Amino acid sequence: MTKRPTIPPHALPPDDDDILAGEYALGVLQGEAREALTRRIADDPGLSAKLRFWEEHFVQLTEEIAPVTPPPHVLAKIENRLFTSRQQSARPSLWNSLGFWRGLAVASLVAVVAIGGWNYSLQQGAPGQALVAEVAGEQGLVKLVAFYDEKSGELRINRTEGSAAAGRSFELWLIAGQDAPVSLGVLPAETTSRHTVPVALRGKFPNGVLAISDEPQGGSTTGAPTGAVLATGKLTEI
Amino acid sequence: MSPDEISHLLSRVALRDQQAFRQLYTATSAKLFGVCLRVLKNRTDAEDVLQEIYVKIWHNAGKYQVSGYSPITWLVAIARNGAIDRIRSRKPESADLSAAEEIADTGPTPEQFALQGGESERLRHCLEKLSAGRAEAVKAAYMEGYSYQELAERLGQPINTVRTWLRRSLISLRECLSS
Repeated sequence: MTKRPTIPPHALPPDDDDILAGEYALGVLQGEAREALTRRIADDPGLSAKLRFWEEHFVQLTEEIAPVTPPPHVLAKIENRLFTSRQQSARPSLWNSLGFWRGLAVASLVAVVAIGGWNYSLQQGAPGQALVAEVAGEQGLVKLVAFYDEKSGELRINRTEGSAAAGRSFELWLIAGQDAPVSLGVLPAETTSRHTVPVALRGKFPNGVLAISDEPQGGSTTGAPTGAVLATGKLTEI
Repeated sequence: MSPDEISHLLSRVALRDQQAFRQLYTATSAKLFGVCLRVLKNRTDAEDVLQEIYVKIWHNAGKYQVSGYSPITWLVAIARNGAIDRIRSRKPESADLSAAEEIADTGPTPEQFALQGGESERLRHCLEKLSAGRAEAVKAAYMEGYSYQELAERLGQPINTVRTWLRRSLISLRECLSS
């Protein structure tokens, strides 16, 4: 079977969208013209590829711009906004927060019942024996509850929303502290699954983060996530 | 820091790694702040926009890998869009045009200087093929974030004439860049 050579899009004569994308990349459009194009770019992969062509070339002009170190308070403000505002706002509503975790625990137990007959119970569970994470993303493409039993090193997953696209797989990752993400494996098509965590990784679960990325079928071949990260969630003791 | 290293940091940031976010900020903020200052010509505005840019980077890092962009280009595009949106939303007289000269560089590290997007000299070559005035108009639009309106005022030409010029310049550039 012979493969028909495909013409790279940039080898064709420029059409109006090419020029519009160029105007957008330069930033000369104003008002409704700019807003309308912003919306089109989000929905039209062809147009966003044309924009990328220009951006990748024009970016070279920024080599002439001297870098300027921003004052230290800028980073402090950013980190405050991203990493501490939620904790501060949660402080007056501790009960809500507890309720949230209780709710999560209930959801997890429901998940465990759904998985079938795991005789873990909260009464037996001294602190540090079980971790739970609600792994979710802004776009809601995939959502799952993960339950980790420190004693057995078993991780149980109950996926409540989303399934991998045709020819793609969801891959589960553990991120502990400053370590690179470590794959915990590809999620099966079934919504519930059990994973035995390698002994070397077990100590890294407390305060770790679980993440789901979109990968080629069978998972990333590079050892690191290659596709979009669709959901994340912090492991917390219950 | 190499593009591969930036790319790696972005993938860690996508996984909500705060340490990687700080490293990314340290490696790239001087470049992006320079870009913002160039467009906004006002330190307070540029600091504000820089905050918004890194908040956006934190939330959108997961989209970087599927965007097909090289990492520096992706970051610069977010920075320029943030700066341009800000400049378009403010009143024309609030720009302090003398500020660009006043903003002396506060000494980025050599690492930050090495942060370069793109890998070829092709754009420069293609700009040289345009007439000098037209190449300058393209560069000014990109570097300073001028709208058609502002370009027309600066060049003392009707806006439609300027748009026709610039679109022709883009057609020539597109052909040259693709050849």
